[in-house]
Amino acid sequence: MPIQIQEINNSEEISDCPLCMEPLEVDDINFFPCVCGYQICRFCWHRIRTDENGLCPACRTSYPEDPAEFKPLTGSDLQKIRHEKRQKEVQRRQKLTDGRRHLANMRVLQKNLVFVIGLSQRLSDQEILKRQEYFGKYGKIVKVVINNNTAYAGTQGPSSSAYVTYSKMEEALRAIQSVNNVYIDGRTLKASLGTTKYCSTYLKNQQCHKTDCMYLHELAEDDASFTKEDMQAGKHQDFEQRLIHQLLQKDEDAGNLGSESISDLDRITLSSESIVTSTRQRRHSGSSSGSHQSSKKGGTESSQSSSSLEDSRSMIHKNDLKKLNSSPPLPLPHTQQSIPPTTIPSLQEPPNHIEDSTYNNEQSNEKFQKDFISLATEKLKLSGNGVQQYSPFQRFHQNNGITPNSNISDPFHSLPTHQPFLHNTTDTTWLSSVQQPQLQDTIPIKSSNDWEAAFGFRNIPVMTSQTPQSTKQEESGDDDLGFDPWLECNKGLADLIAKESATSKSMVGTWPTNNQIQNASQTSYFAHKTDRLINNNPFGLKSNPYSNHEFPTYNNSSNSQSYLDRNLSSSPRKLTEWQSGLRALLPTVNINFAMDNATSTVHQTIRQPHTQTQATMSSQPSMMSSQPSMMSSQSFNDVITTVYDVTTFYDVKW
Amino acid sequence: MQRSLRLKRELHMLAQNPSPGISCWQDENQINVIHAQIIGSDGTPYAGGIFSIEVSVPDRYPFEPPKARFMTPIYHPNIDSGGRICLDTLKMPPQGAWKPSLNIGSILTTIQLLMSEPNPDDPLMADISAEYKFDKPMFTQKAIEHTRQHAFGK
Repeated sequence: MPIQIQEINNSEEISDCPLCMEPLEVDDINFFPCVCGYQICRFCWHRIRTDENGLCPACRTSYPEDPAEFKPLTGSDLQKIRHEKRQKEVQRRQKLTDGRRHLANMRVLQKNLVFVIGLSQRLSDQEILKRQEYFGKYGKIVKVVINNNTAYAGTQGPSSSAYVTYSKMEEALRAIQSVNNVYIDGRTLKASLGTTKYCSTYLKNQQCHKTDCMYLHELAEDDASFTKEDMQAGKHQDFEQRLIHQLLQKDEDAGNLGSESISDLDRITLSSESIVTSTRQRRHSGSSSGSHQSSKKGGTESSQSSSSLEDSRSMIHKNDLKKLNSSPPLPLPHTQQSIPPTTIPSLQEPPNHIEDSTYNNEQSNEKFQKDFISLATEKLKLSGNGVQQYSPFQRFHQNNGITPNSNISDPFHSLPTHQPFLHNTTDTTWLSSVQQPQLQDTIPIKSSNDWEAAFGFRNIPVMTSQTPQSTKQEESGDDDLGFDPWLECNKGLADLIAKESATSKSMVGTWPTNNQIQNASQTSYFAHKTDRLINNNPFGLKSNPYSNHEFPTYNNSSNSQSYLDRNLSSSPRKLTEWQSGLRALLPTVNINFAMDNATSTVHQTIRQPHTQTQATMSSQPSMMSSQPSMMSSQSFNDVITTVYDVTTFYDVKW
Repeated sequence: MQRSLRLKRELHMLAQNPSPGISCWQDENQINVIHAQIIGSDGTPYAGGIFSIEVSVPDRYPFEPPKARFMTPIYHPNIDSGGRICLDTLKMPPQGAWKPSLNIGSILTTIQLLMSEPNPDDPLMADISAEYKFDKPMFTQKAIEHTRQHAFGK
């Protein structure tokens, strides 16, 4: 029984030879070798006739000598076909280019691109701008392009403009908020979102061969595209403002979720600050919340964020960004609610909106209060997450900040000759805190405020109105252990420094004497204040904390105490100075943290009987476990031993 | 060269427009071997069974027919216990009816057709053929049992 066979005739792919599946040539189109009309290409036809049985693949009749039907194309036909082909191709391309022609006049706002004008010659260097002290602070920089030919000069001579490409829109907006209208090197910086245009190759529908082409190669969203007329009308600025507003809104929303849930954006700010002043973050947290032993992460965050908020607020005046004013310090209200009213009766509600720069004092007050609050609030705990949140930066410092032990005294020796901007980013923070006295005149004092503010460092006005009683509370009453392991640790470090500084004249000369003088006359004060002062100069700008600011300490009557003794028992404040000094000596952040932890654990064992609440102590091990790498340092072990001795002594005395 | 290009095209076409009840894929190691599976059509003794077929494509394909073989035992007058298929389109002329214009997909369709319409007049298995001719209920019962035994769940 014959079986019906379904022959697959791919009529839709008529341009293919059914045997070899190759596309039919132009010459093959009219070539039908068999009377049955089965079309194959001439290649297959030749092959069947010479190598195979010479039968038609379809009907099995043998092929005649000549093709049954073949009308060779005339030259004109050929030309016609080719012309049509070309025409089609051209049309297709034309369509694409027509669609793109109008794009040639478009400028597209890049949400992650910051355009800055007014950069001085000193700053007009890619590597400098990328640094953590400058634009690197606000996020990951993908690319920096500097244009030295800008005509924008003003009276100060030539200046440059730069395009800074961030990895995220939020980072760029942060940078703009902070940098715009900042005064540095005698010039006002202007920052805005940058625009770009479509690459000419894209407009011609060609492939762009530039490896790192800055122009657009794909259609951008309509919202961000502006014609020149739009730009002149300032529409792109409206768009920028809208973005910034959205960002702030987001911050606010995140802030409303709770004091501990600072939005990612805020974290960016916080963390970028902490990058610049690596030590500052830790020192700050250590002295604010750490000084109250229950080193609560929430407290740390809130105080930290308050500082960043303060920064941004100060920027508000400068930028006249009214919108910013409407964003209150995020974590603050929550923190305040959790204050036990009996503990801090004198605390006032800090103003949420700072309208004027005359509020500076109040700002710092508020900040201080917040720190105070943070330590007073028992329920904020240091969570493992909170610690890890900063871990990238810690790692950053592990990688960058650690120098061999043999180099410990290096910063001091190199002090007078170093220019902070010549340092590697990694060392700058260390050095700058130490170098401040020498560097006073490197930058116009006038500009330092703005510039510091722009990059998140402000001078903190001195606190004057703190009663000794409340300080005592801070010191001993509110926290769980009744003493501050952070400070203890500092004392230990101070001791170590005292030993080491015997070898370094410059250090011995400046540090302790200054402090001694200051300490004698000061009232009690909070450690982290100075801390900030010390840290707030990543550029090594003017303010010398030792001369510009008071160092209130504990009211310590025993002036006759030995030097070390005085340091031990007197002030947390002094200790932070010691600490900063030690950090300069042992330029690793981790050493400090670890010591803090180690000391606290040491104290945990020692002070256990006296401690009423151990709840917060549980956070210490986690903190410690997050820093396992520090234990490796040999010098660290020495320090720990010293710290232990000192703290033991301190306990006995207490 | 012609073979590989054509095979590629054919497999592409099969993937684009698969015939119902037939699936096929190229062997991982051998470029000239194609594995296929045919599901027994409803209304036949082979209904529900999955029958594996191995198709090997000769070098001179398409001028030589591909060689198809049942890997799954099947109770069928035209297919022997070794899986060899008696099918005219699988043989070269003059005995067979292979034409270069046929292809793998058409061959598999033909095999599927042969399964539902056995050809007892050109038997390979004489006893099964006789059974099919003269005792169809017996054949059907045996075929169903055979199918259940070999072509299910493999």
